[in-house]
This record gives sequence, C-alpha cells and structure tokens, in this order.
Amino acid sequence: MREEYIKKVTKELSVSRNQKREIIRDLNEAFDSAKEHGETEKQVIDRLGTPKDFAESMEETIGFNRAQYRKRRRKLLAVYCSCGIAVFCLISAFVAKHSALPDNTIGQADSMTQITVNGFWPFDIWSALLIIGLIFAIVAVALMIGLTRKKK
Amino acid sequence: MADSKYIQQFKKGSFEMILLCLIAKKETYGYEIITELNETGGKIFGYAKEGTIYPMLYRLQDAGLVQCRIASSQANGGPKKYYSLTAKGRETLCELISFWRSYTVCVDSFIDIVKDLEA
Repeated sequence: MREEYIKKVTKELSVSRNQKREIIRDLNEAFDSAKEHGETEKQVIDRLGTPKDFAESMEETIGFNRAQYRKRRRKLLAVYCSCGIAVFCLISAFVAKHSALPDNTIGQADSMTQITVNGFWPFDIWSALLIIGLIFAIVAVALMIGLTRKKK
Repeated sequence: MADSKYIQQFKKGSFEMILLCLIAKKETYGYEIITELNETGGKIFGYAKEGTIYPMLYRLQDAGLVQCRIASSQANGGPKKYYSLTAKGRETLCELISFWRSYTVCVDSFIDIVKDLEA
C-alpha cells in the first residue's frame, strides 16, 4: 500500500531529480514516523490525499509551475531531435558525397564519358541531405536560442 | 465561515512564523512539528498535514532560515531529518515576533473603534 503510494507519487512529481529524491525521502520518513506513533499506513494515506494531490501540493508550494515545466521539457526534446536529424543528415551527405563515383561516370569507367545520367530526382541525394541537415541545424539553433532567452 | 478567503489569508501570513517558533523551541523533525502544530493550533488553523508542511520547510531551508541534519531518532526509529534554526533564522524570527506584537496592537486599536459590533 505504502510502496504503491510512493511509486505513484514518484511518477506524478515533475520536479528536478534532486528535489524528487528529497521529497521521496521525506515521504518515507513520514510513513516511518507515523508508524512509530501508532498510525496505520491507511491513516497516513487518507491524510496525504491522492498521490496526484500530494505531488501537486509539493510542486505548488515549491513555487513550481507544472505546465511550464512540461512545455520546457517538450521544447528541449524538440532541440535534441532537430540536432539528431541535422547530424544524421550532414554525416550521410558527407558519406554520400565521398563514396559516390565521379559525376557522369558509368560502370567504373576510367575516364569521363559524354553520357549524362538522368536520375529520377532532379537533384542528387547528397545535396538534398545537406540542405535537410542545414535546415534542421538552423531549427535546432533557433529553438535553443528561444529556450535560453526565456530562462532569464 | 472558518474557511473564508480572508481567514485563509490570516493563516497563510502567520504559518511560517509559527513553524519557526516550533523549530526554535527545540531541534525537531517533520512528524513532531505536525503533531505539535495540531495539538496547539489544530482547532484554529485546521489540521496540518505533510503536504502543506514539507514545502514550507523546504522554502525556509532555501531562504537559509532553517538547517537540517539527518540522524537516527532516540526511540529506535529510522533516520530522521532534524530541523533547527540558523543564526539568520533566529534573527528573522525575532524581527517577525516584534513586528507581530505591534501589528496586533495596531489591528486591535482598529477593532476597538467598532467594539459594540462584537456580540
């Protein structure tokens, strides 16, 4: 009963890792102290309210805004994703460029031919990857600037 | 009536000072603070619980007014967080108490004007 309650509170709490550790430690102490004074786990839980209520009251009085935190966390995730995609695209573009055969070669010819290869796409893959990579890099930087600016 | 928003504001305004008083009396831990609060003030303040007291203790700690150490209790209990006042906390409490004294005198003098209103 107690373990389950504490587990649920841990899940509900959106605070920093240190604050969370502190709150859970204190919650454990509350249960221990209550037991020493002859209170049952049920009595303690009745007093504390639902795990969500308890978590919220801890956040509120800590001066912490749940909605704001969630929003910030989503934005951070977006920055990480953009960075990841940008790095992936740029590396792929680099690899594509350098492992590709010279332009206008067919069948590993030793020298240039006059035959032009018309691909399905009007552009080659490496420049497409380069452009996508650059776009995501710009998005990531823009998001990062937005995040750090709001912090102040 | 006891929970009108005006009365809640009174309570809110004095709760931290009361916590400081309890911690000033002796080094104490969460459950003991709650028990003493409820024994002395439960009827007037409503019964306090962990969800309201802990965050206040965190804030007092952040403000540097109280400090805590983790120690095992005498009565064979698990480790507990014992709170005590810092020098700054003691100083702040003295200021708050002296303000409270003049505050109640001042407020009472306003109440005296309408003394005949009291039943």
